Amino acid sequence: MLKVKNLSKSFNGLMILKNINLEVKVGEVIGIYGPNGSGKSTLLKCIAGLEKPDCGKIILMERNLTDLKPWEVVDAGVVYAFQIPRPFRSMSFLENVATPLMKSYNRDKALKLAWDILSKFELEDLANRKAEKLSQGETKLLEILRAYATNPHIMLLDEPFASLDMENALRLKSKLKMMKEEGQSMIITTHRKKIISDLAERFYKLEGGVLIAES
Amino acid sequence: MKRIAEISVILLVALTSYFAGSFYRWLFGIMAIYAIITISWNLMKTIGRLSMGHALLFGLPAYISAMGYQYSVEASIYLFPITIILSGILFFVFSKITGKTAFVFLTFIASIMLWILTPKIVIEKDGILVGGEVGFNFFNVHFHGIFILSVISLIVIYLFTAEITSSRFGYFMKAVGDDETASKAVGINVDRVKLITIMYSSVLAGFAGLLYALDFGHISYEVFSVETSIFPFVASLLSGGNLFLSVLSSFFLVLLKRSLNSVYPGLMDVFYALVLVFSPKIGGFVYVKGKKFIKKL
Repeated sequence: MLKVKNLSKSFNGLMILKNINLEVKVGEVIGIYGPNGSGKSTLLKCIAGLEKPDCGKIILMERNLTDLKPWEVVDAGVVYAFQIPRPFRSMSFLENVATPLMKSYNRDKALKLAWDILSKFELEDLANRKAEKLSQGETKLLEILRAYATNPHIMLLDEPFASLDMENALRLKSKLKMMKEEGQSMIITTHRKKIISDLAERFYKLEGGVLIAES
Repeated sequence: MKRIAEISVILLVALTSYFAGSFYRWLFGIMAIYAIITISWNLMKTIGRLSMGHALLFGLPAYISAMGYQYSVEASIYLFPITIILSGILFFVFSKITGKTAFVFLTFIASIMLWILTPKIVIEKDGILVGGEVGFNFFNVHFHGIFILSVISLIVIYLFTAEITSSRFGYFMKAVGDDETASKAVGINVDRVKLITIMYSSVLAGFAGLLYALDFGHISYEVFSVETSIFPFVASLLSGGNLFLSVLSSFFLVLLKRSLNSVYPGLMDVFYALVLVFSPKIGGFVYVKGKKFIKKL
């Protein structure tokens, strides 16, 4: 479904990603792990169109996404969730999740659909909470559900468990498992492989800018 | 119901002005003009761009139109919308090439440049030099006509803007204002949202400038004064960003200006300076306590 071919990226002459090749099939969950600064976020951002690679191609279902604007990449079905959540602070949890839905639906319908998403994941109690008043774990959930609301073919989750305590990490993992069971494809990056060992079906290690598939 | 109540308050102020006499009828026209500027400014603030150069959007279309008026009525009419569009595009380009902080300074500099340069613009009409510090004559509408035009304009603009900001496009505006990068990441076409909002803001500000020029039958470099740029910022600060309250705060500031400057010329500038100096505290008070109070209502 998603193919990354010979992708390279450098910053100020420093090579961050070298000839990255990656494939994700429909319904598959891929884990990418590596130390801090190994380029995991950069890789996901390149796929999402938030960074422009120096060379290489990103193909989703035969469509070349490489030169698309970020919102066009989302329209194509690829969405990125930030490692450090970036909620829309002036809105509530519900409105944050509803906003991407408003591209396709009117305001009231989008809010209704967002409420359905919150109900599915048993998060109705957070609906009217202002984003700026959420806890760290709740903000992470918001970030992921907002990405989920775009109805993507593939979600790119950048270290979703970073900075979470055990309780919040387990809570988040249960939601991601629900998404996986629905057939949602994901690429999840982490610097702790163990934490996503029961989520991901395949793993890649990213080190020194090189992506190595684990057998 | 809420909108009906808000329009009723605006109409009440208008009618009170109408029956208070010709001076207050004229004054309401000025109040409405500045309220439209504030509505225009608030739109840009919603997408996260604080303009300190709204005098440019306000004054330039009418100024260029007035220059065209020296040659022909047709030139005046054509130049007005063209200048609105070009002004809007200029601000959009500013928003693309700068971050939020630099946008404030760039718009301020652009506006100040006009204030400095326009007194030097003179054109020849029938062998006579016109313009310069004196400015240009323009169409003149009787103050009664300005009153009716400004009441209708303010109400229509208010209702239309309220609809837009509560629609799904309004959510996109708020999202872009909160975080452009996150907005891109969830599929919002940030460029389109910024362009549409800035162009609409430009149209409103330019229209307010047209009303101003029609009211006085004249326009000069004074329309590019710093005060015109500061006014909507102060009005918005005092209203906590609420659309209806920003209209009322605009009315209040126009009345306050009249009162303070009649006591001592330039006293209103002291008020603006104090508000700017204490703006973080004022903003904190209005946005926290004020919003709680409004919610209770």
